[in-house]
Parts: sequence; C-alpha cells; structure tokens
Amino acid sequence: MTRLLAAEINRLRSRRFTLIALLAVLLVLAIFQIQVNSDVSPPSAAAVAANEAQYERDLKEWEEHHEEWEQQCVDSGVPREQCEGPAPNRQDYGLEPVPFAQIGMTLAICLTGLAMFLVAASFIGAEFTTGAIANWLSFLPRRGQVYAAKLVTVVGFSLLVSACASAFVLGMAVLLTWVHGGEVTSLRPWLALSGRGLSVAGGLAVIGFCVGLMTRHTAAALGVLLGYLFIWVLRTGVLSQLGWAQRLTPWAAEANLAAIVGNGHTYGIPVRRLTEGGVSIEYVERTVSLMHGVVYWAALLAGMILAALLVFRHRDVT
Amino acid sequence: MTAVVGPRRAMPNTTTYAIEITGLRKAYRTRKGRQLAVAGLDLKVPAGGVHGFLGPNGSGKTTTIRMLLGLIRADAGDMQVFGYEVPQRLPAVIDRIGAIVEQPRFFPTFSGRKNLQLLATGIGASAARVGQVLDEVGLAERAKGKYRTYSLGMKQRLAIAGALLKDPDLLIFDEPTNGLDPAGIHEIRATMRGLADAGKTVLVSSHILTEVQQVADTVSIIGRGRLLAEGNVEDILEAGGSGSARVGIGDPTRAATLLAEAGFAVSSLPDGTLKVSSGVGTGQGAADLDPAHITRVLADHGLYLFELTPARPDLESVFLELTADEHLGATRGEPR
Repeated sequence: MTRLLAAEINRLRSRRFTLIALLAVLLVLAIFQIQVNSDVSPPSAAAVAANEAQYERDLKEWEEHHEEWEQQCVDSGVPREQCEGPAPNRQDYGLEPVPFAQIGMTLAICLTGLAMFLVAASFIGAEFTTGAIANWLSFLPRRGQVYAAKLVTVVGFSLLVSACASAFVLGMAVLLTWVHGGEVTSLRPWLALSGRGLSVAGGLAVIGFCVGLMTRHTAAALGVLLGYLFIWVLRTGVLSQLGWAQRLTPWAAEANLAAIVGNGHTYGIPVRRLTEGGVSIEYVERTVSLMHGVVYWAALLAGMILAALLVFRHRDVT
Repeated sequence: MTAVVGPRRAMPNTTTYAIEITGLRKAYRTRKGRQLAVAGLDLKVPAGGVHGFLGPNGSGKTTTIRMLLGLIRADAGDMQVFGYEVPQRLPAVIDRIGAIVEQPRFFPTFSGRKNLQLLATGIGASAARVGQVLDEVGLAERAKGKYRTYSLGMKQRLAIAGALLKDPDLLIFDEPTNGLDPAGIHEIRATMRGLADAGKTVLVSSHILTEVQQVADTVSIIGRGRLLAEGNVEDILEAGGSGSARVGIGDPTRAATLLAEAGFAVSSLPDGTLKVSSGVGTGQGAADLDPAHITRVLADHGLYLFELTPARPDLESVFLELTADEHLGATRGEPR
C-alpha cells in the first residue's frame, strides 16, 4: 500500500493539470490581495473629505424622508419590517476602518474546493481516457488497494492545498493590516473557518474523484458539475418564488456545503399572502444548521465512495 | 487438413503448463443482444518456449488475455496461471506475468522513463531496473522524451520494457507487431525468441501467421471464441495435410487426367505446370502425396516429368482453412 501511495503521489505532483490548477488558485488569491490591501489602507485626506460630504448629504436626506419612504412602501402592501431602510453607514463610505473580516477566506475555500474537484476528476479520468488504468491494473490487480491509494492521494493533496491557501490568505491579511497600522482582531473564528474549509476541499475532491471514476472521463465529470450548477441556478433563480423548490434547500448539496462553510445557512421559503394591496410574497426564514450540513455531507461522501468502489471493482476495464 | 479439427491434439504428459484454461466464456451485451466473444475456450500453454495464440480479428484473443489478467470478468470457466486460479489468486502470481494488451497504454505527457518509474514504484522494482530494461529494449537515449512523441515502434518497445520490469516468467504479447516496420517486427521476434531461450514462456497473440511460424514452438488456433487446433507447429503443419507438389511435364492435360484417375487432386498453374495434392476429402480413392507414386503413375503411361517440387503447407494455409468460416467475428448469442 505504501508503494502504491508513493506512486500515486508521484504521478499527481508530476501532472501538468495539477500544476495549472495550483497556479490558477494562487493567481486568483494573489489578485484578491490587491482588494484586501485597498480595504485595509487608510484613505487619503481628500478622499475622506469627499466621502464625508457625501455621507452627510445622504444622512440628512434619510433623516428627512425615511418615514415617508417607509409609509409609501407599507401602503403598497409590503409588510412593515421589510420596508425599513437603514440609515447610511460611515463604514460604507470608507470613513471607518474595514473590519478584519473581509479577507477573502470564503473565496479561498470555494476556489480551492472547485480546483480540487477538477484535479481529482482529471487525476482518475485521465487514466481511463488514456487507457493507462488497464496497464496499471495488469501490474497491480488488487483493485481495492489501487482505489484506496488513489482516493487517499487526492484527499490528502486537497487538504494540503486547502491548508496552504487558507494560511496564505490569513497570513497576507495579517501582514497587510499590520503594515497599514490596522488592528488584527481575534484569529480564532478564521482558524475555525479554515478548518471547515479543509473539509470542504477534501469533500469536493472525493466527489470529483468518484464522479470522474464512474463517468471515466474528466470532461464527463465536468459536465456533471455544470449540470448540477444549472439545476442550482434554476432552483435559486427561476424557481425562487416557488415554495416547493425552496423547501428542497435542506436536501441540496450546495446549501449543506454553505452551512459547513458559514456555520449554518439561512434561506427563505416564499409564502404568498393576500393583502389589501393585492398578493404579496413573504419569506419565512429557515436555517440549515452546521450539524445538518456535516451529517448530510458525511452520508453523501460515504455513498459516493462506496458506489465508486463497487463500480471500480466490478466493471470491466478495456 | 481436417485432421486437426475435432478432438484436441493431446499435449505430452510430461509438459507443465504456464496457462490452463477450461470452458472459458464471455459475452458482451450490445444493443443487438448478447455477443459471444469467447465460447467455451480450452487452452493450454506449455511452460517455456513461444506459444502462438492465433485467430482472426474478433475471435476472442484479446478478450481471453484480458480475462487472464483480471481486467474483465469471465462469465464461466476456469483459468490457471502457473497453477494459480485466476482471477481469484491473480495477486499471488501477477509478479510472474508481464503483459502488453493490444496497444501500449501509458501517460502521454510523461516521459518513457517517468512512466516506467511509476510502474516500478508501484511494484517495488528498483530505479536501476528501469534503466536496465530501457537499455534492453534500446530506448535509453529517448527515455526522457514524452511518450506522446514516440513512434509506434518505440511505444511497443516501452511496453516491452514495462513488461520486463518484473523479470517475469510469463510474457503475454497481444498483437505486438501491429504497425511496426519490418525492422521493428524482426526486433520484436528476436526479443520473443531470446526470452523463450532464456527459459521464459512467451504467449504471443497474432493474426500475422508468417511471424508466428518463424518464432513459435507451439500454437493454438481459435475461431469464434473456441479452440480449433493446438499443438506443436510441426505437428499442426503435418496434420494440416501433406502439402502439394509442382509437376512439370510435356503433356499436362493428359498427365492431369491420369493423376486425377489415380486419386490426386490436380489443378493447372499459369506457367503450364500442375499443382498436385493428396486429394484429402475427395473420397475413398484419395491418394497420398508420395512423389514416387506420382512418378510411377506418369511413367507407367509413358509420360516423363521434368520437374517435381514438393511444397509444404505453411501455417497460414492451415490457419486459413481452419478459420475459413470464422471471419465474421464473434458469434451472435441468444438474447438472455
């Protein structure tokens, strides 16, 4: 098993696709640091003066008219709590220090997860499209071990890459904040988020590997991913005002993934009400908990791993 | 020629077998129903020497080899390699088998050396062994080149190098000379012979009979997934008929009549000579192809020949006769 792992690791790190995926992730995260740098940089005196003036104008207008705007909104049949417009925020005008929260950690997690899906799908898909898997199995016929070695390799690699990406993002945020004299608030929530990000990258790598193995082609695995994205867009876009479509949210993979990343995922179920102004749609808030997300993904991954193993063990390799 | 069809030619009792297959069956499901690729095949490959595994395209050679290597599952039948049941005990014997199934298949963006290094790591062979086998197949100089830039011959050689990594006792070559030029074919043939002379067992599947005849010690001929004939090459050729003789004579028309009356099968050749064969299958009056008999028949009637050249049957003619009805490919089975 050790020899198998060594061979698989050797192949994974030697693949051009792996290198390209890593460079793409690094490039996007590096570009995002320009935004982070801009956020944590103190604005110039002229910019502060201009923004201050704009803020004062907007605040004054809000103070004078917000009750009138809210009443107009309520009169049109919208519930009052949905008509409340908040007062202008100094932070939105660059007049307050940007909280340390905006460092792109979620971006890093999503990006790494997507890249690892593709790396894993390509890792196994290429073996089938080139036919090299037949050659490999004619040397190493214990399919269970071969499968385990490949899976462990892609998952281990994904965890490593995710950890490095999180460390890079967090490290750059701390560095840039320190350079600009800002205050680095507690790192604990970010470390926890990074930890959850590891599981996301690992999970998506498993899905990519299993789909790539069952479809036997990288492009087919990518097609499955795009197909799922299409359904997601359909459900959250065109069907967003249909109650039954939104009630499926707790059983949607991406909602449970969001619950893991965001320590819970909030969504709304549309409810139509007949008011004096006509039919209005209210959204009842629901939450997919972190635990729900973890259990859902654990079950999904276990099912995928088992299904892919059965396919790999029993299907003919030609 | 029919002598080799029907009851199988028994192998010598003293021979041990590298491969023994009994009643092997495999059917593929297609839209048109079940396609029988292998239909109850029996096969015995003696240990040591080169064994030709012959059959027309679609006769089940590659499917049989894939089943031996555990790449596809058999529907029925028993297979043994060096006495080990496969695929159940394949892991125990796989280190003694090196195989190339159809075209060589490696990672195209890796170099030849890298591809072999991966295999070597997987099976626990040393890095030095990689260099050694690359040297053996004459690929050392191009080992750093990407596999996708290799010619077909180089790819075949790399595949042979891969098969040799384990220093196996049994080498399986499936159509090893496909796409090779004459020099490449000669090289592969010499490699196979060299391996057999070194005590290895080489199973070579092919439909290019002249090659196999030059290198094989024993052969099995299959058609539509079942065994048609097997045995030593010499025995197969002998059983395939006593061949024919070319007869040159002044009055070929009269000679043809006399020989036909004597039970020979006679046909005219374009240069005016006669092709005389033993007349197998022509009935009870068939005559053996004995040159003295031919001479006597003609001389008794005052005809004196000026040429009598015996022509032995080759493996190709035996093969073509045996597989005359087999070229439609696999048998269409009954739908399940």
